[in-house]
Amino acid sequence: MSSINPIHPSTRARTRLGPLVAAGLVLGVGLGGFVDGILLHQILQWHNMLSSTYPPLDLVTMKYNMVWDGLFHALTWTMCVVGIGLLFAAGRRADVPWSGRLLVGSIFGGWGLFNLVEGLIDHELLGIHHVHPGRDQLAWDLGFVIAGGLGLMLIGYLVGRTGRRAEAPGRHGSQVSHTVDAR
Amino acid sequence: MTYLAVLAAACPDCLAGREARALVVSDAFWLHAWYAALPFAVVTVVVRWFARRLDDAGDPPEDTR
Repeated sequence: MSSINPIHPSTRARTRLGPLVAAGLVLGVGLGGFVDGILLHQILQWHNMLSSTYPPLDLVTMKYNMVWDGLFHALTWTMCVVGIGLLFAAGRRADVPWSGRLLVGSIFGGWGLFNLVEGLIDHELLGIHHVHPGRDQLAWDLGFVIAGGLGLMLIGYLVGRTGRRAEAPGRHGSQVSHTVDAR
Repeated sequence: MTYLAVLAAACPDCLAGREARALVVSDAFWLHAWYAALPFAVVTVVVRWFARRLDDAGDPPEDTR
């Protein structure tokens, strides 16, 4: 068991940001995936999951892409469920600061991370679909990675940093449990 | 194809649906499933690494008092 002296700053109760940040990042991945699927696949209909492999030109290929869009949404849904589970687990821990800004920043970070990774793998490496297929598809793909990926990650970092600053240990409702060295 | 014929072909258990499902299964299903899952696998690894790194760094938050 660790002994913590509350007087000396170097030995004060340690907070763990990891569980809350992990929950926010995973939630961001799931919610960001839903934004991609709902906005770009369904509402705008710019692309589908395998629309560069099987362009949706007739009913069969549209349905084919619809199935793969559904499987993609099943994965984003799974990430959301895992994120909620991680958030619940983080909320039960006394050593995790309960910071809304840190959570929101992590969600933006996860959204950006998903866009960055998905943009590089699906659009550039595998080429199974592009953001906006056509003459300027490379520009759209790069814009997606830069604005939708790196830009959102930067916003997430900036928002999360303010939350990290504002939250002192023990502001969680439940106090950080620690043992005072009685020497 | 007329509108009604298209509607009939698009019903859940009609020709187009059956063809599409057969195509999904027969045309490199596992490879495409891997393609769909790969970004999620990569971000999961990154998140786990980052969360662990954040805790291992062990720097306490700045004191705002």
